[in-house]
Amino acid sequence: MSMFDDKYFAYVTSSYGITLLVLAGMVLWARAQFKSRTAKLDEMEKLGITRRSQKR
Amino acid sequence: MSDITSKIAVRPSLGALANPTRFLNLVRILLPWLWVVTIALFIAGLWLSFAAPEDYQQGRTVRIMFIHVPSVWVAMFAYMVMVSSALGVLVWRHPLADVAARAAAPLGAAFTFLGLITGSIWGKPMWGTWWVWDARLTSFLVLLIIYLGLIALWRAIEEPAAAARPAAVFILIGAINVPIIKFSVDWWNTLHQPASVFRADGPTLSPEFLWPLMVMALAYSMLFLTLHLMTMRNEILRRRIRSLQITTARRAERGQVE
Repeated sequence: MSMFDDKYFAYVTSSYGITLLVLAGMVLWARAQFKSRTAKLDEMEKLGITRRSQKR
Repeated sequence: MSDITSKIAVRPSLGALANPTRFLNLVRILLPWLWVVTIALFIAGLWLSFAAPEDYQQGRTVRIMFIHVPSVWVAMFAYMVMVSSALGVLVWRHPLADVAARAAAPLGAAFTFLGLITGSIWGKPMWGTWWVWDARLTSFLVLLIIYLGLIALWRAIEEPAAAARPAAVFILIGAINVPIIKFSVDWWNTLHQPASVFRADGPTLSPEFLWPLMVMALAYSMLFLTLHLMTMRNEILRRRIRSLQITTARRAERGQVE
């Protein structure tokens, strides 16, 4: 019997599929937040808004 | 002095990481290596999971165990990370403790959600139901509610310093639920099976199932560690942006900014 004929195929694939979506979603969310925040800080730096420790 | 120590000037104490800039430098160096280890562990864990034989009772659904159980362990581990961070806030007042707690909450919530969903999908063919209000499932659902409550609390109080102490107290109160989850299967009659790995008399799982499970648990733990460092970095940057915006607004009020 192939894996696809198994009566539990839908349960196994859906659980792995949902897991993949959630784990990948967490990674993408963390990366997207980092990009947007570094972009915001860069934008502020261009406007001359920097932390005291950054001022030269 | 090695290359890494010269870059980040590591001192042998947690205090060395109290400086967020030093912490960010450490994260920048560690992240690529952590990703390599995490991906390698996932490849090995998935290969072992799909090479494992079918269970004589559960058939192929036993493979759900390799993603369900690590999700549950990491969900509880994330909470224990938050408990130690809460102690860091209340006792040692470590500057990064609140950052660590706040950064762990959405990750813990996601792993708890995964534990509930994969458990439900596993339960349907094995128990004949998606859900029962037994002590293990209910206490684990309570963990998700605690995570969501904490996220809501942090969102409700905008000032990080003002939110830190109430959140830390909330975390410590919520910690009561962690042993309840662990021992619920011993204290009450539950549809959920008793512990089969962490037992006083050793695991009852056979090695062909135990090995994939342990490798996947390690992969999940490494993923949590990697994501936690990433979300801590994001939280530090969020606080920097907020602090700069407040400083700029104050200067504008005083007429110091043209």
